[in-house]
Amino acid sequence: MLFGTVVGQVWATRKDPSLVGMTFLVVRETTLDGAPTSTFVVAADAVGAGVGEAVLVAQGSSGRQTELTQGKPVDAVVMAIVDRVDVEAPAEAPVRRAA
Amino acid sequence: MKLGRVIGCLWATRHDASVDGLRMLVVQPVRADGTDAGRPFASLDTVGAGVGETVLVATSTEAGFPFGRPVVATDATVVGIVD
Repeated sequence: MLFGTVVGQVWATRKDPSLVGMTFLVVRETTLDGAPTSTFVVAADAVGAGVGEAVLVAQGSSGRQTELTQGKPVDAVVMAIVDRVDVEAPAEAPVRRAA
Repeated sequence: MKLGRVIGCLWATRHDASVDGLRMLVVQPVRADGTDAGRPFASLDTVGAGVGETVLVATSTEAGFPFGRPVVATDATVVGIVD
């Protein structure tokens, strides 16, 4: 799942009938420390996330693997709101075997 | 499937019911020589992998298969620890 921040919402009155009632969020992909990147994705909201919250987005056919989106034309879903990320100190140089 | 290195853990109290009780990790994708390849992503875990371990990650819908639930909202799951 990609790390992102909810930055907005999308309204679309004319849409596939199976999407009626869903909320669509604009999510900006972020780095692990929350810094924004230049990538955005529109995702169905399965968890009730709001603007400014750090979220996880499942993409591709996995976007359909929630009760909300099952069998529907959705390819990205916000499936968790991130409370906390614990990451090791900057990656050590990978161990390389001598030739 | 992808190769990755576990670099951290992740907590999300509010989540889709399909991932209830499942452990989440932060995985840095790596190349075969262990160097980083792209941005870290969040992944579920079936094998109890720990920070620093090199792992095998199943992606796409197949990432939900190991859990035996009708649906699992994940596009990445650690399914093996590389020896």
